[in-house]
Amino acid sequence: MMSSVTQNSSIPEVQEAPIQFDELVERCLGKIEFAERILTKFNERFPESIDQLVQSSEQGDLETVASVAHRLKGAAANISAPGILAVVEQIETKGRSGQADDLACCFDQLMSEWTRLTDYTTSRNLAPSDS
Amino acid sequence: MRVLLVEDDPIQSEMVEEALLNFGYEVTCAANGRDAFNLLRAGGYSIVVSDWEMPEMNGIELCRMIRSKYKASYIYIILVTSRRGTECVVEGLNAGADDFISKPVHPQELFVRVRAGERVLSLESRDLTIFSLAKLAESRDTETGAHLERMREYSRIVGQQLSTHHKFKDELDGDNIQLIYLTSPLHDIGKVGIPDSVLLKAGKLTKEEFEIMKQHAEIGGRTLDAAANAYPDASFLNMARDIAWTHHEKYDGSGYPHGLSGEKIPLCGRIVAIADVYDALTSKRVYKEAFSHEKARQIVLEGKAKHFDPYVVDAFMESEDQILEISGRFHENDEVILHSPLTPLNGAPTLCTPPVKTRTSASPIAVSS
Repeated sequence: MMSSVTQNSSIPEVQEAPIQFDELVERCLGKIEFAERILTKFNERFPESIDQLVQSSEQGDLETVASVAHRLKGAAANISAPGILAVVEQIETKGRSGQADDLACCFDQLMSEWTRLTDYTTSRNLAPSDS
Repeated sequence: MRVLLVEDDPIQSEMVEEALLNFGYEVTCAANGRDAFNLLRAGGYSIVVSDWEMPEMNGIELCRMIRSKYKASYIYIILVTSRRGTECVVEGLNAGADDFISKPVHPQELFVRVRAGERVLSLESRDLTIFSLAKLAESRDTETGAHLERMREYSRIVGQQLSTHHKFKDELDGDNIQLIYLTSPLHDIGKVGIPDSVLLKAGKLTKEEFEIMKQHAEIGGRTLDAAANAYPDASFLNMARDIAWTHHEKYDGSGYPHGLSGEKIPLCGRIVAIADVYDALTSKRVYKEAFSHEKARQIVLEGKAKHFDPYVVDAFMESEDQILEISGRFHENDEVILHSPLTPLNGAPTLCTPPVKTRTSASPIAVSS
């Protein structure tokens, strides 16, 4: 499934699966249930992160944008979500360099990637995490 | 081993904690550097795995705090970061980090890095234990000043010089020289088995008393041999045993406890013999003044191929400048007689350092020729 790319965005096209699940399982010591729990936890925490990004951007607080993006980048790398990872890396870079102009496009792209991820987790019938 | 995991991201924290638990470590988690520092005050943590960027106190600040506040025992710090580049490495190491691991953390890489930390920590306690035991054994022998510090330096210097000779370059590699340096202080550990009446006698020993004193080499050797057999992987114990057992053997076979001769005496024993004798000669004892370097040097030369291995004597002579530098550095609290152009022609030595509180040893063993 092709990701949409807006005209003014420099976000590269991402054609990979939303998550490299085998990699995640390997990083979870081969424990599939643990990997699924981590994935569910990521999805549950994601909306709060995106809200923080949007609010900080609207307030012109690019430092917080970069900081939240950095944290989200770590989490995305941990769960092997290349699409989300690529977008948050861009957001972090823009936040650190003060480029606020096309952050909104980045956030749209991020939401799109997250939708792909949640579709994937839904298809695996993942239960909510304990937290 | 207890590990303190410092990570503000719950997902990263859970994954790293799970990995560490899986590898058998006890894990405590903190969400920022400040909480981690407060936990460290309770003690018991040897390893810290910390994220770099965190609220309240980041990983770099935590490293600096740990290095400035915790001196009693070493805490091994691994920083977890997605940062790249030499600048970041320099910043982390400068702050006191011991190692880095890149995000996303792979469990196997985490395991080998933490295990490397365990190896470093075990070395620290090993070296401390060795020297502490040696100092404890020496403490009964009234004050000997910095005898152990000097003679291990002499042993290292002679070993390094000897390693440049083709005959010894394989046996005396860097590891073995370091082992000699570390374990040579244990040479007289057998003295703990010598009664006070002999060990602390203020004056020359009788023949019978000297026979008792000689037993310290056998006592030390057997004790360390038992330890080496119990822990065969601890190679330093083999070296310590050989040194304790043979540092009073003489090249011509007239030494003790077993009358070994020539190259049947382990090389480490032959090296420590010269270091121990030279230090005894140039240190003040109850029954004698400290000999000058020149006089001690002459005695060592006269002992070539009799008391001492000729190659070892040559190495000693070739590194004389370094030997003198050590002698000067560590004798500052002892009276030191150095050869000086001001020495009168009749040979009476001149005291070259200001007299301070004199430390003496009752150990009579090293002066026999």
